Amino acid sequence: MKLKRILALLICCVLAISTFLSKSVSAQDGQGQSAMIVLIYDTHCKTACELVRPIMKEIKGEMKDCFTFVELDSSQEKLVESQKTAKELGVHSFLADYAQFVPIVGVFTAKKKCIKVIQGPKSKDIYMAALQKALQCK
Amino acid sequence: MQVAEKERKHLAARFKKISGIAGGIVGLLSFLVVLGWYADIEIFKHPFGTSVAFGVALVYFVLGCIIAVDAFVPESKPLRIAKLIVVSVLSSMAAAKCVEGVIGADWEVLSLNLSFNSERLVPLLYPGVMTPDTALVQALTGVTYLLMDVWKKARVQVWQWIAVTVIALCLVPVFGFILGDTNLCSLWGCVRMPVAFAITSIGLGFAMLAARPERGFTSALIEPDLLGTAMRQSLFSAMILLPLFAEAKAVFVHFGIFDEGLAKSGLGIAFMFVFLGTVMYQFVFAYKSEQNIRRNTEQRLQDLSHQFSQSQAENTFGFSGKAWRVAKCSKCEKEFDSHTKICPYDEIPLSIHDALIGQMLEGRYLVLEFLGRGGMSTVYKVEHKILSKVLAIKFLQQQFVSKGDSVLRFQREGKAMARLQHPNLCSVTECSIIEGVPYLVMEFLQGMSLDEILREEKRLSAKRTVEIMIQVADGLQHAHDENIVHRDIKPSNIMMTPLDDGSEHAKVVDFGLARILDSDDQKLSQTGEAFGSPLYMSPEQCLGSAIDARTDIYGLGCVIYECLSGNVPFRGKSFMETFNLHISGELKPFAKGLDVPPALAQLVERMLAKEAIDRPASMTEVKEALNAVMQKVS
Repeated sequence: MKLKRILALLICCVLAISTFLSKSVSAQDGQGQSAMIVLIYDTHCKTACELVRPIMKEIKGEMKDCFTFVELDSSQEKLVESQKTAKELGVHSFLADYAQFVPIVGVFTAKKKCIKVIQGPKSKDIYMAALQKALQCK
Repeated sequence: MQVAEKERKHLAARFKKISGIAGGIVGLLSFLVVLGWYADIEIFKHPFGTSVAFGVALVYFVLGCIIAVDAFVPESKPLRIAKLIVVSVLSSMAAAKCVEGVIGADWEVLSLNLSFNSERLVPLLYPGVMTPDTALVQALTGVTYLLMDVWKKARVQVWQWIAVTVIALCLVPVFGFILGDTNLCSLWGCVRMPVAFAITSIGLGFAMLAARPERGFTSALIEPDLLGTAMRQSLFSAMILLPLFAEAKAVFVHFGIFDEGLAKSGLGIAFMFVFLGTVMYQFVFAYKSEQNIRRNTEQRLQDLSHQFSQSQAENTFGFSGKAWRVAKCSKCEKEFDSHTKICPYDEIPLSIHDALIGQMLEGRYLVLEFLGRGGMSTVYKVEHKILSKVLAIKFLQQQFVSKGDSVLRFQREGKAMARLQHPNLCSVTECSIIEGVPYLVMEFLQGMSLDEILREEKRLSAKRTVEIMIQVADGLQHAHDENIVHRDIKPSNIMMTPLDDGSEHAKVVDFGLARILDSDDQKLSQTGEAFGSPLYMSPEQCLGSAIDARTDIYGLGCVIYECLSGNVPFRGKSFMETFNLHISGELKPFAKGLDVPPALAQLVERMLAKEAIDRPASMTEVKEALNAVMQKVS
């Protein structure tokens, strides 16, 4: 019984705190007009990152005006610059939270809502499917 | 023995508590990370300056809590089933995530949205973002728990090996982080050293190993000896130092006390040296202490035996300094060795005077009568006055008391016998030293030795022989299972007690030459020495080469041969000749008139094979063969 009470209390704490604090973390950005794909990579990550980047460029080539493609380098040397770019685009929390899981792709709708996070190299179809979904979202 | 067992139990209980605490800490830390993700609290989301994914933290929160509950909440069936279901689901999800990452797939089902707030920029998904490496570690951790809980009777504790593998894998990023290699890359991506994840995984792995300390190789950790202490201390040093170093390095770099380069080349290597030095110190210290204790024990035993000199003997029972049992001449009143029968001066029969008869030893053992004398020891019948129980007490003979090796060998006999609890083996209840003389208290066996029976009856029937030998083989099998080889199987070491139903109960006695195969008591039983009774010694004993349980099989073969034929299989005119016969002499087949069943004759022949490899592999095999013969003869 004691254990159940403690667990219930913990869950209530999580809910209360997250509801309270998340109000301040609302999506303050929304300036973008089109869907956006954000690729976080690291210059030191050779194998995996180098697999994703060409696919992204290929997709960009195919669907030129449909979406915005942003590459953010999370390596120590470029991190400050990337943080600045991410802030301008309204995805700074995405960079802060996932910079350590490169290569990672975030697919955002025009309203800057992340609908898909794809970690590690995947096939082109998977990225395309996520992008199509983002483009359909209003 | 009992003290050690108690200490072991105490340590096991402590380990279980530590397991619960470790699980609780992991659960708490993971809870903070989960809270960090929900409430967007940076310091919680990025412990040690590295990220822990939401899904990973959530799983570890649950696992940590389960291990803590395991340690502190009494077990119940519904609780156990619930735990197993939860862990199965978590580990299956992690395994699926690992496969998804490896094959480059994207399975929607592995993206369970747990965000309470729909306005989040990136939803909180379970399992969500998880590299295959971390997913694999999670899946293995879950499997470890399941195996630990479900596969309790497994001989090999597979889960322990998985836990150790996980810990070893997770040490890579921890050491990498401390040494300054910040990226851990694999075919499926690069992660900034997931040091926080690795440390929590190590913590969880340790918690699981500590949860069942009495099983498998972790039982070494609860040994109360110095090696166990060294292992415990090293483990705890590692558990404290590694996160401490990782955090210290993160703090130093964060506040610019050291830059990343210096931290890598200098600080990291310094940490490694401190860590390795601490661990090595524990073992060197343990080794040194063990050596000191061994040296001091030997010295103490020798000192004790010298301590009771002639002058002190007046105030004692007379254990040392003068003979306890003497033959006395009633005319000249001179004392002689107890074996002397006639006074050499007056030529009249001598009477035996035993100083121990009627004495009360240690305030509880009343010496009743003299039972016999062996090569190194003398046995008396005593009565335990408190328990009103008749027992036998065996003293090391005075001439051996001053010899350290003899004392240690006597002590070893006590150790060997105390390990054995079997109806066909004589059990020891106490081993101690009285006035410098070591003694063993054992059960008193009423009846005759097989040697006395053979002297009276010359030889035994096949049926009676087999009946006795099945019991002896059973007792010896137990000793062999405990890694103890008797090395001196002979008729005088087999005691026969008559039972109420007219049958006989056999017990193997005198483990004075027993060798504990897993002990490092090399000095006392090293290869090269020949021990045993020449008529029953195996060829390898005669040659002084390495022995094992098959030496006892040979000895028992000699005894069976003697019981059936009335003669020992090999008897030379001298020790050397007997040795040679054992080594290369041909075995005489049983005379036709003896009526020995062919299967039994065949078994004896195999037991007496010159090469140990040609003998039955174990006492179990001997016992089975004897049982088969028994069915035929009865």
